[in-house]
Amino acid sequence: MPRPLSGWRCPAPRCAAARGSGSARAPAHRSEFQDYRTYAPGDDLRHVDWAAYARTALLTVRLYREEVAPRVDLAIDVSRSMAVTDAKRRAFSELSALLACACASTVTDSCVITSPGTAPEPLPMPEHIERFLTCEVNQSAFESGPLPFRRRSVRIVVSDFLFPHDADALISRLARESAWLAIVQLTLAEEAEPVVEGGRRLIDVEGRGEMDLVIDEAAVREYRARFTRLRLGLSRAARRVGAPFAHLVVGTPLRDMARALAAAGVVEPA
Amino acid sequence: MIFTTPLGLLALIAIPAIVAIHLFRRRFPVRSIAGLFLWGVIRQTPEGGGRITRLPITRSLILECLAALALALILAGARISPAGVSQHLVVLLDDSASMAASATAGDSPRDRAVRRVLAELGRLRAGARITLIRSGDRPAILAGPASYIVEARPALDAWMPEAPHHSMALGLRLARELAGRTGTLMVMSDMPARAARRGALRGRRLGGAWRSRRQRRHYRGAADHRAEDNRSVVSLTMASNMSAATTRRLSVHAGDNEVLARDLSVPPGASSLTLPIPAGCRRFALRCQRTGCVATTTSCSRSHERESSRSTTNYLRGAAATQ
Repeated sequence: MPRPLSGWRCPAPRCAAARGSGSARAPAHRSEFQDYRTYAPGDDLRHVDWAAYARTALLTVRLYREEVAPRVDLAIDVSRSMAVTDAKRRAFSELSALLACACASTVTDSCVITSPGTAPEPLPMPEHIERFLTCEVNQSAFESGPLPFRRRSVRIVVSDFLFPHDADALISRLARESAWLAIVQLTLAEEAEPVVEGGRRLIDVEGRGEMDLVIDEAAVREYRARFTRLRLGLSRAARRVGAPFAHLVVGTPLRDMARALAAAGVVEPA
Repeated sequence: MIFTTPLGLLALIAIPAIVAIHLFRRRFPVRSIAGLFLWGVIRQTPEGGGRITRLPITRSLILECLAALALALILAGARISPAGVSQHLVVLLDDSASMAASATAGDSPRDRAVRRVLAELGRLRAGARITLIRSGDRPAILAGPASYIVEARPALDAWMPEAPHHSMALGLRLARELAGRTGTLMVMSDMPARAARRGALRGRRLGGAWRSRRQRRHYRGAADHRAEDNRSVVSLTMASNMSAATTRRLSVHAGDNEVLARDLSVPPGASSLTLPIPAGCRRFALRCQRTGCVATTTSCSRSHERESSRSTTNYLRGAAATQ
């Protein structure tokens, strides 16, 4: 395994932690009780087992299944837009491999979700992620109905989110009944920061139409404003549910990409 | 390839128009993107028109040109070969009043022409087309162009020639246009074919069949015996199509000799005339030297000179037709 891919893991959800009171971090429904651990500063006092404290005079908090052995659902967007250029396809593959490795480092129960209509596919080995990266679908999996996430799972969602959507509704749908959620947006540099190019015939790779356009200063300015609104909308919506959000740009070295994910809280050093 | 409506070829103008549209259309380099909706609401005003560049032979251009070509061929009535075209008979009917002149036998050139046309129609294949044109000051289409036979029959039956003036040349021009190269042209007239070719058709290719319905002895009469004065008398009924009275010279010829001549003032419409025939004139001919009047009904009577009590037939050679 290449060095940049290893050494990262998904952060385990801490139900007992006080920070992150959003739904992605503080599940409303507890699943099976698994274990105790010693109280750490910052833990929610509501999760302290006071009976154990009475017996042992030690502050302990209860641990549940999603904290001890979380299930990870890696939802990846395999629409054509993720392979609009070779560079984006390559970066998408590297990012997916990185996250697959992080999932493998975290738990043994990892699944990949690519469409609403199919059940989560197990990911026993990180290398198996490659067979999912076909990028031949005309519509992103996140545009249509609810995805078959497993209940109380840790969810990592990877997409460019370049489709019309309501960020709040989308993120809420992704975070529903999750133990933890992370949003990763991967775009080309020219998708995030287009430059003046002159006349171009723009053809949507997902068949949403085509358009002759003179990409001048005004057009670029308007596009950047819209893209910024889209990205900020995702970021704010993710923050509302306590989900980390990372925006990665194609062309970034994988090592820097991993660091950016770690900085956003999507992964953490193993 | 033949075209039944060559004017339809004007639709071929669409092809250069399509090429021009493709030539001047703005063509930008293609770029595949994701998220077209982020560009979608941008309104732009082009800085300038299109520029001429090399014409791209695209599938769209080819299909549009082929569509325009097909449309033009359809409008022009293109046919691959003449064999694929149904028969087209164009009949030019002499509409002059002389065609309605009846002989003593009761029929007129018009009747004979109608019978001849009907006989021709009977020989045509099913699906054949016919165009009936009548001459006149201006030629007019009685049936058609290219109507079915069942549609043409009533028009042919109703046709009654009565034009005081007519021009076969104009009618022939129209008939030849309608007949084209594959149609059969049929001319029904009481003009001799030779005269017609010398006149209206001189120097031109007819392109069809000339079928004259003229009989040389057009006006026919019978001499009757009138015993009381032992003289021959010709009773002649004339019809003038002129609007005013005209002067005509009527002469009686026996062989090459003119035995009687009289200037007549022929009033419009029908008029009767009795001419004495000199004794001893067994065969004679009446000749109206100026045209413009047509003898419609003639009857001749002559003396019975010898033992024969039976009438003999005499022929009145009238003018060919009005002019």
